[in-house]
Amino acid sequence: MSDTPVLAFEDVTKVFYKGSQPVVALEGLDMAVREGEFVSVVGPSGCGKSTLLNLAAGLSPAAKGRVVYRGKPVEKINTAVGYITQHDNLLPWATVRKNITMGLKIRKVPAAERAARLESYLELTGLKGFENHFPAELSGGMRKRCSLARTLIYSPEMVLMDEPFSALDAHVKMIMHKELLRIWDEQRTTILFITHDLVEAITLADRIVVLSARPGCVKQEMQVDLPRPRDPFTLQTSPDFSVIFETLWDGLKDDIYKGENV
Amino acid sequence: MSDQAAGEIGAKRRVRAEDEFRDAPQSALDFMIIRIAIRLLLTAAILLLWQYASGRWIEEYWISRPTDVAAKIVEWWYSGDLLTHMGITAGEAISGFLIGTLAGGVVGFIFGWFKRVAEILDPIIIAIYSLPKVALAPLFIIWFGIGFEMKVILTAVIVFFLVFFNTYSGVRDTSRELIDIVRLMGAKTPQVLWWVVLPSALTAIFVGLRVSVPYALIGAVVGEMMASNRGVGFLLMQSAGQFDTAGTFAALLTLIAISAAFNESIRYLEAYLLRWKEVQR
Repeated sequence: MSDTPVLAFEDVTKVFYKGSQPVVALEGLDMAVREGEFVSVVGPSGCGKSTLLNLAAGLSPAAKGRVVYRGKPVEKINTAVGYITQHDNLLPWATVRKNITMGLKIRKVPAAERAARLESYLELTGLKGFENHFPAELSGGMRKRCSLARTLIYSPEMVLMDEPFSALDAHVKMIMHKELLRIWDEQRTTILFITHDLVEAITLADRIVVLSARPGCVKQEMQVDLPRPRDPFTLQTSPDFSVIFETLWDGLKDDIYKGENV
Repeated sequence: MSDQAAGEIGAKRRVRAEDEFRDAPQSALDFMIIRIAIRLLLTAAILLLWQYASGRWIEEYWISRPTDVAAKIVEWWYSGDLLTHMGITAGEAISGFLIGTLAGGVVGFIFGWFKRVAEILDPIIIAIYSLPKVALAPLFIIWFGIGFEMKVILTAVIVFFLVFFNTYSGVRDTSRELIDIVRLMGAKTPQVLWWVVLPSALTAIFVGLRVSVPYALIGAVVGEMMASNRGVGFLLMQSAGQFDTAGTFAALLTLIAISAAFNESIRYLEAYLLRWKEVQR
């Protein structure tokens, strides 16, 4: 892990307009993600967590400040990052095979290599035997794995994840955590992971950034020094986990009632 | 528990392929046979009633009778008239349909993709759309004569608007997130259009196509009725002009046959291209 940030937010402010009424989503946000780091951002709902990812992906511009990717300001769509959204956003008209290999096809990877990589990712995500199914034929967990495979297969330098597991039930979620950690241990891709679930953040991340209620800015940062590989099924029982949880919760709880959906 | 006992329980509980389940769906074939039988019976009943009523309750002059209509169709069949005229009408309708669909699809795509174009040209399109398209027939006769072209163009204009509006809204309603995701993967605009926007808009486009089928025939038949000596529209006018009720009904049945065949083809194409939706229920 080197110290040069892959992605940096420098004093970023983002404003949305409801009609002509400006709503400040982020204000003076400063944070950075280093190479190979798994960073998780938590915060009350409506604090601009998803906005953060859209800025990093170059899908929407900042009102003030700069978003910098590898030393260059992000001005147009940032194809160096892969984006895994809350909804799986698979193409409903494409089979699992086509969905997963789309990124490779766009990057003009030769057919033989495409097939080989597809094979290994089907194996990795347990989707073997389903490659000719349409997304509507899969369960929620399978669709999620398909969407993970689709992004990870073309090895983007950095992966943005926006509450990807929030729609899954508790058990499937833990299984997904386990699989994500297993894949990540192999690849060590830089990941920026948004969630409102503290347990999820602690289970997965190297470092956790807590955002304040809107307008969002960095309220607290914390290194998660739990040893890897971590087991999502037993991690929560460890005393270190509780300490981290308590500390973060102290910082978060005041703001949680200021969230939008309370 | 011994392994053997466990095996027995397993054997007892295992579901076999030949098991009958109460909630198993009735076979599709059974349903189809029943459905077709009911339809045939109903049609037969209507034909019998028509045959009986003709000359008894209603004068034959007004409603002819099924046997006479059938005789007329057979007569046209042997004289070669039936296939010639059907071919001409179907040819006009299909050519017009294809041209109208292609033009409507392309313009619909441009409007849906470039929002500015749509904003600027919207009132003009609406103005032309609100004109009853058959009213353009006289103008087209002046421009293109009374031949094949005029009917094709009249049909194309009618179909154009139906396909255009549906394509436009289909393209516009494509999920923004889906487009962004694919662009983040590095896709260029043509790839985005081909992989995301077209398949997404296809559902709406097919609504336009299905609605267009009967309208395509309106264009062809109205064109023939106004100016032609060929086609089913001509047969219709000629028979009616001679107060030949059987011929008129025969021509109408011919139109129904063309329309039904046309509709079925579109349905097949739709079932194939939108097969990913089948499983969504």
